[in-house]
Amino acid sequence: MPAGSGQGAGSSEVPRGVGPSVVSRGAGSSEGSVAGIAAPAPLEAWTAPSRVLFGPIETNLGRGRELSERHTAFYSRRAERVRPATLANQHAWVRDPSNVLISDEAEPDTGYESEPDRLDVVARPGEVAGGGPGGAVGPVLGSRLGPAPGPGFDVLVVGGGPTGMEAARVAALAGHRVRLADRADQLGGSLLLAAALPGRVRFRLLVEWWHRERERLAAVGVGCALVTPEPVVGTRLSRTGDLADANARLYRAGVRCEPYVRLAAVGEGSATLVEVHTGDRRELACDLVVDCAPALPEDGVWRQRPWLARAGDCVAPRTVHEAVLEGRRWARSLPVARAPEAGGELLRGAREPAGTRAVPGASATAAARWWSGSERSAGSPGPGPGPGSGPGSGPGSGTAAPRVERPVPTNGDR
Amino acid sequence: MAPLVAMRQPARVGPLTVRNRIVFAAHLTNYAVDGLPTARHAAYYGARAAGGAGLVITEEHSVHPGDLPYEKLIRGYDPAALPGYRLITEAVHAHGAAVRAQLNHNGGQSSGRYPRRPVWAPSAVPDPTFAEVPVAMTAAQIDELVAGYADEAGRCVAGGFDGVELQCSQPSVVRQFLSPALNQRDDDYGGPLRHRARFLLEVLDAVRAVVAPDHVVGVRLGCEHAVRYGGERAELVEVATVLAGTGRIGYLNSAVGVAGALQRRIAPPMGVPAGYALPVASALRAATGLPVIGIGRFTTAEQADSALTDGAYDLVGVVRGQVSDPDLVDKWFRGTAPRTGLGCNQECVGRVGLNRSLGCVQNPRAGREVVRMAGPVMRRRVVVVGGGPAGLRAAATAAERGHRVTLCEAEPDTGGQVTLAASASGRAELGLAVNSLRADCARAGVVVHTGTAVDAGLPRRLDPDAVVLATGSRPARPPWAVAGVYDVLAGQASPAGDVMVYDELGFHQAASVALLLADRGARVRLLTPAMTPVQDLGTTLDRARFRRRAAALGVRCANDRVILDATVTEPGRVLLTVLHHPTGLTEREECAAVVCAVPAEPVDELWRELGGGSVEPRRGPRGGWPVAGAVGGSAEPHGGAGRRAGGAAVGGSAEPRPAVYRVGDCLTPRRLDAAIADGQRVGEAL
Repeated sequence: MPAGSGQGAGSSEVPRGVGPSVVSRGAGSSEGSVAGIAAPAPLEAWTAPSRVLFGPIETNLGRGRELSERHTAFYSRRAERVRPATLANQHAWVRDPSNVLISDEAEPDTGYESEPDRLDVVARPGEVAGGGPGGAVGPVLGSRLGPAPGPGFDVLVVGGGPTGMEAARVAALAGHRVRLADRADQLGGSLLLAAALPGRVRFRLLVEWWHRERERLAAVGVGCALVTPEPVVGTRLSRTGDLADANARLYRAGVRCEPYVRLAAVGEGSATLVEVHTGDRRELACDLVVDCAPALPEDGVWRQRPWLARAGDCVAPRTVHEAVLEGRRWARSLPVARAPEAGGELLRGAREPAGTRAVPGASATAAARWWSGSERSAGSPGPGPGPGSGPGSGPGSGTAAPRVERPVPTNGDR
Repeated sequence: MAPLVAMRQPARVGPLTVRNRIVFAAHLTNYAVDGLPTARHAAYYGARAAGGAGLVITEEHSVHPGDLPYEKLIRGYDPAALPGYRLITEAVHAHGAAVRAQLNHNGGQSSGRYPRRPVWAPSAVPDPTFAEVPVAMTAAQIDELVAGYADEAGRCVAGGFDGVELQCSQPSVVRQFLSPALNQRDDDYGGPLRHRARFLLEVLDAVRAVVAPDHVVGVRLGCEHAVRYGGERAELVEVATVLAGTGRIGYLNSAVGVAGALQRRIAPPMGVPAGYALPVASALRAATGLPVIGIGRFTTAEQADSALTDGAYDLVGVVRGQVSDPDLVDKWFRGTAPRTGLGCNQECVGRVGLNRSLGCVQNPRAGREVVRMAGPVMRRRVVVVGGGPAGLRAAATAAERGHRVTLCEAEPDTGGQVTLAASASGRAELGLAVNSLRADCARAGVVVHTGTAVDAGLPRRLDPDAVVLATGSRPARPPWAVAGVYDVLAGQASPAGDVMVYDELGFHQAASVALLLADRGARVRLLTPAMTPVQDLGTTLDRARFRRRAAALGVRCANDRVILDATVTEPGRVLLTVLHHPTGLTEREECAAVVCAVPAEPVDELWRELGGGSVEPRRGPRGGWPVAGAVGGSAEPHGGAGRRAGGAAVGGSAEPRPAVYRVGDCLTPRRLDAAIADGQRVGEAL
């Protein structure tokens, strides 16, 4: 293998302002193993400068096993909304005696990055027009811009297979107004057929990727402002360690952040914002307001049948953690119907096995009591804890258990 | 001046008589350990009772295990709280003061992160601060909560409290029931006011049933919970009237503001005038005839007394004043000057909000009352060099403990940078800290020499046993800066035109100077690498005032920006290269001058000349605090001499040398609280 080529690129620091570094698209193999990203990459991969450890990869780029300009181009390609690798190896098998350049099924520029006629135009929100929706942000990350922007064409692409979708995608990247028509209900053409075969399902990832690109490109040039009464947007991300990074990603994406304002009214084509400290009002032109206020519980069923147990968001919308916790807590409150085979450790502390069948409406006090369960029924007028009852007094003590009717668990023999 | 008599009068509160009119009202301390009251609480409240307070009301005790918005909330529902209650009530009663426990449930102003349960509230309306959707309580849950109040009230009485106060103002589920915006129930607990007040009345009935008639039940009501709920005061008065009509409560307490956007109304920062909350208490008093406790940032005896004389209140709550000086009431009554609360909010509100224990910028012993300050082992001769807050505090504390202390200050007056900071608009009350420190020094017999520069020969001439260096800091300006904030405050620089204030400190330094220059007519931009301009003003509740004044004066702020370089292109023109670090883009900015608020550097030449260099922190002899920067780590004047490192010895090697300490900014530049704490620490360790 070309000594140092892969490792050198992988370990080099990417200076800020140059753009995301190389992300392997699976275009390469080493000793027969494919280096690549096996699943669609998270959003992060294309919104922040990222470095991916580029393992030793043979490329055939040097032909004579020497580093060349091709290597530089190959390794400095930016992550472009990471395209899933098919892992089909149709163009990535280096040890083919015909000694062709490696490439990729759905990224034909791979291996040909330094060709003068490459078509790819890399654009992001704010680049095409030469200034982001935020205005001040400007060209993001200094990527190569395409030719000087012109008025663009109205393009109709007929056929929604890989050819049509890629044509539509790249035309849209270049700023043209693109429509795509296909007689089928689904985009993907014969790629969907190929993906339907056993072991070939990864071809479907490409179709999904084109769909994501279509959605993303439809939003290119759409100005976005994020307004919040807080001093910075996403304050609670500080708990996750992502506050600063999230704000940086928003900046780079051209999102305008407006702290210290409250949304006072939504009118025709504009929203009225009020400054929280000064009370100043101003209008913000917009076509759409996306409400990110807290949700309310979807508790219609429970309201009609308040004797049912409830857990998770229908109690109070919170995070996935509380949802899982309360689902598990409810299930643990049931009598154990039989010795569990797998996952039995989850039932530590649950009630003693009560035979072979869960009994609905049993005095499962653990769930009925606040201290161990999540919800008490509204229709059960249980007395409150008497003096001396507290957390130390344990589940179920100090109060009569209200009758709680429960559905039979699915493992019951009802 | 007429003697202030109103505040000395005993007050009849329900069946009890309180010895005077000054109340140490409820406030969070974070002194609980594992959710239980501690000896620290007892010493803290006991010190205020010893200092003359008529009535102490503890911080809130939660009545239900689902209520745990912050880690150190007292779990009143836990029977294990009882021994701690007895410690508190014995400590307060020992000094003749009355003591009540405040009962509360925070309702929806809470988070499920600690209890791992859904948060209970009247309706599923998320609190803006916690932004967590609560669950609307069922009728059974309401019953359970009411029973929790009664259970906890019984425990408080058993623990020796004279009574309980039901917290029904800003952080309470009762407020949420009373508020039509937060209570959207369609059952008997929501709708018209008589329904919204039902929960409160049920709680009162249940509590009264377990609290004997010779004990007091009080209710704290508040308003100004948010701007959009205007007109609520009329409803509040109606609720108070109903409460009075029950004949079951002994007094009303009052509050304004609410956590979150209006937190600054609860613990008003510096600059808010005394009596700001007077209308609420007056309205309650006029409507009910019950004794009413009023609050309102009273910092002087005259303010407190006149509010009582005017009939606005029957008793007056003073919290931060008594935190900074436990003997405030005695001093007011004796006509001597107490240490006056500043309203800086740095170590009280600011610390509690960060899950740390309540402290005080001026009073480093606040919250440490349980650790007794010992007298000196031997009387020493101590020389303190530098009369800023660190030096003044070290001198006063050392002298209070019996040492003979001389303080030398090079400038014509003591006070150091605090005097400069207090010269900014709206910050004058900081100067009270210097006044208090000077008064402490005078009372303790510190000999102060101003206009006296000190060189390394001083220890030989004065022959002290210990030298405390408090020589402060100097601005460490980047080479491109035109001026530092203290140059501007001191009048040594007067930039005009387009001024860029560059802030790496995120506190009052840049805020004060930006407003000062804008007020003088400059076009000011404030640039900071931080995510939000003057970010630490949020913890002290000063942010709203700054942002309003900045908007009025046209100060523009920009965050996430670092000045990389500055070039003077022509006299009065500076070209700045500014990095917007989230994007990596650089911008060019032009201005007439750059004023920097950046970290300072210590003035430690004298320290080095006196042989400094070993800065190992050492455990203090008492209280377990590290002694900051003791040379050789020894508090003994001679014992450490032989072991001391460094060749720049004063005098011959055989000659005993004094122990040398440094405190405050000359150790490392920090804020006022750290300077005073350093001084206290060394003063206690000598």
